[in-house]
Amino acid sequence: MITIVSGLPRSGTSLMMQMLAAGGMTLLTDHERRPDVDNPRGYCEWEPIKLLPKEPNRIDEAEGKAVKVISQLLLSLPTGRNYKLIFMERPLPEVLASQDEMLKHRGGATLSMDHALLTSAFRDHMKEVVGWLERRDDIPVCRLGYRKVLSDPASAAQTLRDFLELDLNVEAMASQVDPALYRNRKP
Amino acid sequence: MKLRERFPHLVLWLAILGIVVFCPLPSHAYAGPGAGFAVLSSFWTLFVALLYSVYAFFVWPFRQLLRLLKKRKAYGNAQIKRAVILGFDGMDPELTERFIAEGRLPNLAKLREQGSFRKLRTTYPAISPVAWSTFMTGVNPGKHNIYDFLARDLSNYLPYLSSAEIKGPKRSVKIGKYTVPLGGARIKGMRKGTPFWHWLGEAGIFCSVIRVPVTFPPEKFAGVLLSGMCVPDLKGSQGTFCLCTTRASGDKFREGGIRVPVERDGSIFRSYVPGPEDPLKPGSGDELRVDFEIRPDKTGTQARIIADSQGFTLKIGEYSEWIPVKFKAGMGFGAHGICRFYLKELSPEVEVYVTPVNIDPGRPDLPISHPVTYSIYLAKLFGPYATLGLAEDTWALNEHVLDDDAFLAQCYANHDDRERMLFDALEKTQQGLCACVFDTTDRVQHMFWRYLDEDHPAARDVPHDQHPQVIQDLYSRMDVLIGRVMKQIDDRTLLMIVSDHGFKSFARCVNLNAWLHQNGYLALKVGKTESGDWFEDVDWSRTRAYTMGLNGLYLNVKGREREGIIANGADTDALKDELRRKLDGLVDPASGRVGITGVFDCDAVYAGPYVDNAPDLLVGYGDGFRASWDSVMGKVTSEIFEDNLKAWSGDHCIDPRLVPGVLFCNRKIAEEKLAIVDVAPTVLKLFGLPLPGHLDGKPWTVASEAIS
Repeated sequence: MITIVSGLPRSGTSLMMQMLAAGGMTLLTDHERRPDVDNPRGYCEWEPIKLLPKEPNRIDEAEGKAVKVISQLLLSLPTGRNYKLIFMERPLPEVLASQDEMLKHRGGATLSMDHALLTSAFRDHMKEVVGWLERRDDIPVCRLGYRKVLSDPASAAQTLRDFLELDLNVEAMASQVDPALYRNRKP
Repeated sequence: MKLRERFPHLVLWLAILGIVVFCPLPSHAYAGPGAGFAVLSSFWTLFVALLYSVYAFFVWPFRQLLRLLKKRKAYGNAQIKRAVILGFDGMDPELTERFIAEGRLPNLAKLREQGSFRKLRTTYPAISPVAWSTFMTGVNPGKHNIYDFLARDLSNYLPYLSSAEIKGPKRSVKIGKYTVPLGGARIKGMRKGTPFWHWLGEAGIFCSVIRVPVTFPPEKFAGVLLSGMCVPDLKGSQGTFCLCTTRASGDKFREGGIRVPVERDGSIFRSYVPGPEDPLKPGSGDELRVDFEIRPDKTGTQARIIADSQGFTLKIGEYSEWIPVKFKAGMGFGAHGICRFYLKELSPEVEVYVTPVNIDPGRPDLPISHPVTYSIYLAKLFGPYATLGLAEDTWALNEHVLDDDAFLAQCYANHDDRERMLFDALEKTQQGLCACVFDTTDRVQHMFWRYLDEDHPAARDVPHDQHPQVIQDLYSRMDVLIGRVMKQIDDRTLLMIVSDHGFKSFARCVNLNAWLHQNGYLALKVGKTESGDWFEDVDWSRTRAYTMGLNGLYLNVKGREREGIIANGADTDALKDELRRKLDGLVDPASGRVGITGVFDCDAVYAGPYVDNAPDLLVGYGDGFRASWDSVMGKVTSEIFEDNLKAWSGDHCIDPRLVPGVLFCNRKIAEEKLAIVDVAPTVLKLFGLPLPGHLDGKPWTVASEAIS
């Protein structure tokens, strides 16, 4: 089985990867992207996943592991594999605020001018992803709200274990959640 | 050694081959490609077959050795060699004890005395697809996603089948007025969770699984499986019978059947069997048909029926064998099915009942087994058999299309087929798991409870001393089957008799939608006092709660339901509390009895990744009550309580505490309180497998010695 962790960038996918690792799951990462102020515990990414549209078979390297696949790349997942997908959901204003912060820390301009445009683009993208998920009914999906994970990590950890049907350490998974890292809240 | 030394004539041979291939002589006669291809292909097939035979011959000892080693490893920690699980849907513990006390069930009595007998706690709700899903996965419904036969579509408040979704092919090509499908139908299984036989299969333990409910579509695993309850008929429904009749059209059947006219043509009568929708005209409503003729003989007691070029003679009150029928759509498309004809009447009118058209197990158009060849193998071995999930036509008896005897004959014919499959699986599975579920117990109790109940509304006109002993005979028959199985097993085999729930009388109907309406929770459109099916006249903008299906009660939640009005959070919690307070203990004014003995908050009952799909509350009806036929179909009537006059007179979709199932075992079990959710972990443990952490069930302490 290949466990996919997906969602929009800044929707909590890194946190989810950290929880899975703490629970005892092997991650497919290369540590290319170093931890920084926006993700002090690391991004848990695997660079070759970006090649998925051209080299879909690369996903086979994730057999028995968890790998992060941002939502844009989900659409390139090849058929004929046994996947389970954890999809992180976070309100769009929070996602955009978090992306703003990230850009600020990198010394770039913020996205605030384009928020309306980006919100509309993200909505369209999410519609596309939801449509794709409906078509790919061979992939079981567990949708988890970022806020819910932070407000009730124990329950989220249990849900994950039950969904993946693996002997994951629920307490260790829950302990990965640090509410102090929930910095970009929107009412 | 050089190549030239090893093959001294290599160059010569290559030169000859080159001349033959590249410089052929011109042919002086026409040589069509067909003959050449035929020689090449048949030669090639023979050659490959020969090569494979040689290969198979030489590797056979190694494969056997490998298999032996694998088996040894697989069974290394096992306490048992084989587990045989016989599922009797709806076998009731109180009735079983009563019949044991009356001396009717000697084999179950032996199991009770020398092995174990317990009441088996069922699921919330006590419905077969829910309980059997829990049986196979070892988890609560929040983790397997089955809460009822039906689930509701949040976008339109309409129902859909909760276990599987069948869609048309992904792609099609439009040619004129036809839409040509490219590829087969797509089937999506909605049940989540992993059945315990998958874990066994992964460990190298072979499993034969026959007709366990909610196993459609069949999933891949290391074993064989024939799908059970929820397999559709060829129309895609859960069973649509057909009454072909010369009588002027009567009332439309409430559900489950179609009336088809029989036309007279001299001494011959002509009719047809309605089939699936024309695949070349999807969405048009055009159905495919198979025509048939009825030719009564001179005596008026029997007739020759000719269907799809097959002729057979039936006496009045007699069933045909399974008749294969092909629904042709043109351009080579069509569907293969099987059905049975039952001659009801020849004079003064002509009437023939036709069972729902089952998927032909010998030529399955949809997968009904794993591997797909398993259903074909069984069909070759025993002939065609019922494949429909709910194969016993309870609707036809409800609608008086079949009488008691005709219905029973149908039930036991299916049952006999199932017995044959079980004994074949027992013979083939000397090690591993053999699980088989029998539905007869459920269907017969549903339809004949009226004769057990002293004052059932559906049997008030039948004098009590004339009540047939149908249910007593049913239990005796199952006991005989259990005895035959006991003779086939040794002391290293675990035998479990399991039922998913018990049974109670269903004498009074409760229309919960009517109660919600009369108490201000459900609003109808202005001027309406009742609604049609599926909330036809409901004003959602003023509706706070509604019900459909057998036990689920739903709140109309903002942001969840299309026209939801209750804010999620404190408002939903308060409304749930209010409804629970008012409904729990609801009394039937006519009988003075309690119609609802428990209302359960699903947030407290379920846990898992799929809890969002659960109802908000579960209604537990009291002994003698159940959701009304109208309430199940989302209809609001003016009466809350009414008599149940249908043959479907027993039920179990009530307070789960009142209808536990049974567990018999050929070994002693230490624990007193057992639940159906424990079966999967218990079997895994007995085979020496580690228990996955997400399981809700707890394994029982089972003695190592079996009864003799």
